[in-house]
Amino acid sequence: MFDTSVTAALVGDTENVSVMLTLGDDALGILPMPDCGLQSNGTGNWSLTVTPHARGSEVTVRLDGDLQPCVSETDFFSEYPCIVETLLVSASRNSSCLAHLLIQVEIYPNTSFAQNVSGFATSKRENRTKKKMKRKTGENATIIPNQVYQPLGPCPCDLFIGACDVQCCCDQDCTPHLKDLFREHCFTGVFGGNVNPPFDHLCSTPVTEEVSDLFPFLCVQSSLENTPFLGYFFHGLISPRTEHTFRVPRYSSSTSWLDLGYWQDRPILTSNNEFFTIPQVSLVGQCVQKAPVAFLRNFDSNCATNLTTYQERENISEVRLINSLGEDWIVPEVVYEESTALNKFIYDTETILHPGPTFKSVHLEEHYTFRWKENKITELNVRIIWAKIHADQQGTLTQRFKVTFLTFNATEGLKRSGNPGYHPGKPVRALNVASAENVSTINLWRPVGSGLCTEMETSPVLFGEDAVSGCLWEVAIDENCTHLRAEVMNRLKSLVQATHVAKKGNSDYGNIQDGWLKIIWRDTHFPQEGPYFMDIKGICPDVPATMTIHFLISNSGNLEGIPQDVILGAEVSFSSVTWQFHCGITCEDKPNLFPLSVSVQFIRIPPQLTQPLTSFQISLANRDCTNNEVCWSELIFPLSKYYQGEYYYSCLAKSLMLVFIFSLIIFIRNPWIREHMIWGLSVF
Amino acid sequence: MALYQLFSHPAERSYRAGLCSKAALFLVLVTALTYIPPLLVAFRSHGFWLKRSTYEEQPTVRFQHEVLLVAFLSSLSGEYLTWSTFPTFNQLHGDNVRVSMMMAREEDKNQDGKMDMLHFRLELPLKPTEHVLGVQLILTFSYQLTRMSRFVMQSMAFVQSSFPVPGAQLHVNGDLKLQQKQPLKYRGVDTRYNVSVINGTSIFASDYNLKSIAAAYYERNVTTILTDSNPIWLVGRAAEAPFIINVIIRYPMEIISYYPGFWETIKFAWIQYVSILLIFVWIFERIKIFVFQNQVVTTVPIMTQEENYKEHLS
Repeated sequence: MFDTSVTAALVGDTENVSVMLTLGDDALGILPMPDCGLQSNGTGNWSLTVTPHARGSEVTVRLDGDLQPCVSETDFFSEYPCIVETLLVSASRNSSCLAHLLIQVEIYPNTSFAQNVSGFATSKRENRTKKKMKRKTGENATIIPNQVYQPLGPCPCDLFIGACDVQCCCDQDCTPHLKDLFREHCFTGVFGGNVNPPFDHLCSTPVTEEVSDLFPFLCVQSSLENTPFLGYFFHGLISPRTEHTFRVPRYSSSTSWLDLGYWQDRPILTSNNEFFTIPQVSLVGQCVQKAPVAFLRNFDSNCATNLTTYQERENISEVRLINSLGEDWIVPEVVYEESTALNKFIYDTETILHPGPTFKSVHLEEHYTFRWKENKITELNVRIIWAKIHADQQGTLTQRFKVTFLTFNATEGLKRSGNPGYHPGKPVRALNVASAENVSTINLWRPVGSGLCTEMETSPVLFGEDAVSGCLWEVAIDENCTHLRAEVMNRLKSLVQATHVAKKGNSDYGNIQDGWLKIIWRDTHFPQEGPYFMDIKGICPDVPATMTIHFLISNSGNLEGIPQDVILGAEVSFSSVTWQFHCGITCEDKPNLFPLSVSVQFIRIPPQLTQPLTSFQISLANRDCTNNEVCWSELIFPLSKYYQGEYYYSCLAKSLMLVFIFSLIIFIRNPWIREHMIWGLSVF
Repeated sequence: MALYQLFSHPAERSYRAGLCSKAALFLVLVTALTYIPPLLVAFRSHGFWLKRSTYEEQPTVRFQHEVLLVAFLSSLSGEYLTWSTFPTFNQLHGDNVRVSMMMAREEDKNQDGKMDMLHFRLELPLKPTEHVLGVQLILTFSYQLTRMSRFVMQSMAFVQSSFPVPGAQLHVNGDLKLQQKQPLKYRGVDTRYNVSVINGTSIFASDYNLKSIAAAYYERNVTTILTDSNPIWLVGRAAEAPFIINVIIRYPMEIISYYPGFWETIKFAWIQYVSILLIFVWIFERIKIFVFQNQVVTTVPIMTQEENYKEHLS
């Protein structure tokens, strides 16, 4: 019984019958005497209710008071009753006793309710293992064991950890003494749990009449733990089923998981246990101001911000980064450089600024260089290029943020363009042995603004990418031809300041013998200017307006299956045009625009022939399956490498089976063999 | 009384010769000529081996309720509003996030257990001063094919549209079409592309870059695209009204190409081979009968027992 009330029935004629409750004195160990009709000395916490019925009355004795003595924070596993009392219910009519009922009350503490509920239908054992796993991995993720072999809830009625659940006979927290209290009222178990009914094939099950005589030979000797019901009701899903629905966004907070240091794509944390953020490009070019930085992920982002809404980022020199848990913090080494070339960064909408003393500084570029070793960051160098602008300056500010991760001992020198062969899309390495200037690439013009040669920028020539680029040169009508040619030539030659190009992607800059090839220059010979052209204004023949750079490249072999391309030679040549001043109706004294161009061409050696094949050649090339729908290699198509429907071994097995079947048919059908068989039979 | 042929049966006649005789050589030659040329004829006349085949199936498509929206506002500095079902994304974009109302309903019109269309509606709240000029919207789907190979993938529908005049509503009505660069297998489970289109748990800005999302997606050999080249913009938004995006996406029947299996390939080849072989067998049978009957090669003809018996009787 697990209630604090008890009900009994008083049968018979219950008219004028009074029912009374008497409390026994436990301390003295004396049973209450039935004193029918007399006043009792109080019923304590107990109350008595009599409900009349047709054939008698129902008498209910209920505990009214609270069970304070039974709720103890310290005594969880009490095996002793907290309340022991003796009650006597007596029924009397006119002071004559009719019936007595003696009630022995023993109330045990139900420790279940004294504790917090920490899981529904989860066994203690399971929780303990979970805790262990958490400690081991340091992760929040709980590893759910395969439920086919280890049911999550082996004891479904075990609702509370560390407490005996009443009526739950498989609860391991219940001592035998406690179980005695409810042994006859156990919850019936669920299959797949700890409640293992002996199964039919078990040798120890009593032999019924239905089993065969061979049962003693075929039965299974096994423990009940290895029940055939194990996993029988498991539906095959470990993770909860994902229903397609809108999920309410849950915001996660940054947590420290740096037990083992950083690894790739882990966010870098500051000493406040927050993400270290640098503006980055997201979506379709928009900049996210507070974007976390991932370990070992380089980026270079340009962010345009309106100067009116420009906000200074927090001072980087005050930021401290977590290196690894429990170790010292990384202090950034910051270098500031002032720039005055503002026009590259600020697009101004021509506002008139009143001269005033108020200035503010803005960051134009921020370069972050992280040094790392194993799972730790060893160093952070920051280079900030800033500029002073007017406090009321308006327009759009373009900021550049660059993050580079380098190994702790890497030198910030010139990068390789491949190892050893060039990678397509990497800059062609160049070197000028004559000059002390640091020339490392051959350049192309990069158009800026209106495309005039005077304001051009350059970009390096990339390996394998044919390119053409140009600029416009302002030439007046009275331009001296010799001067024009020299100027144009100088302008073009300024793109190729190198004397050598690297044969390989990793040629050493310090060693000229390490595959450096001299650039061949094919200079145009300017004709001696004849008297014919001297006199005409506005016409100059043989102006070297086009420069062509040819690179001869070739495959020098494969390294681990990757083709390695090298440069075999580089040649710069010029082609000339005749410049002529174009006038409208009247020749104004306004300079004309003369286009200069530079083109880059990569020629693969041996050059790929593009001659069309003759029909004779096509019909001969029957083995070429890429250019022929029908080729002899595909005669047995399922066994050829071109067949992709099945694996080769599967096709081979099936083909062999077919061959075997056909051989068998031929063997049986063949008249010679048949006759041999007949002869063979007729001999006997 | 006239006699009619009521029944006939062929009589068998054997020709015997040594295994190294001319007759044996002739037979080997004829057998080779009977069986090999049909193969060559069938093969050289194209289409002998079935290299790919197609079948029809309506895919099981479910809207995954993952949405990423970017709306461009009419300003020079490229102001935008965004909303997604990815919490980390919303966290990243801070002030530009505008909580939107989304409604989605999938409809199975013909009651065959497969969804046929999606009705999606999104209402982006706007201030009276804000005007939407362009929209980019990504919806993700789980896409399953079951008839041949069990193909499961997570795909997306990408809506990108802009209008020179500030809009009030955008209506998109299109089909979610399968695009195959490579045929599927004819059987087996194919979960190559059962990966999220957008890594919604990532906290890094670069993972939400549409350029990289699209680049990774179109790198796949099997994708889905939304075929609606003409989204309709409605203008005339009330001051407090939200910007409404209505998307109707149908999941149509698809023609799916696949690599046929070994037996299917062999079966189609066999049909072609045997039909040509029959002609060759008939021709060479005639030739053989002629050659042996007329003793072009030397053999010893032997009647079967029945004929011998008949001859004795006569």
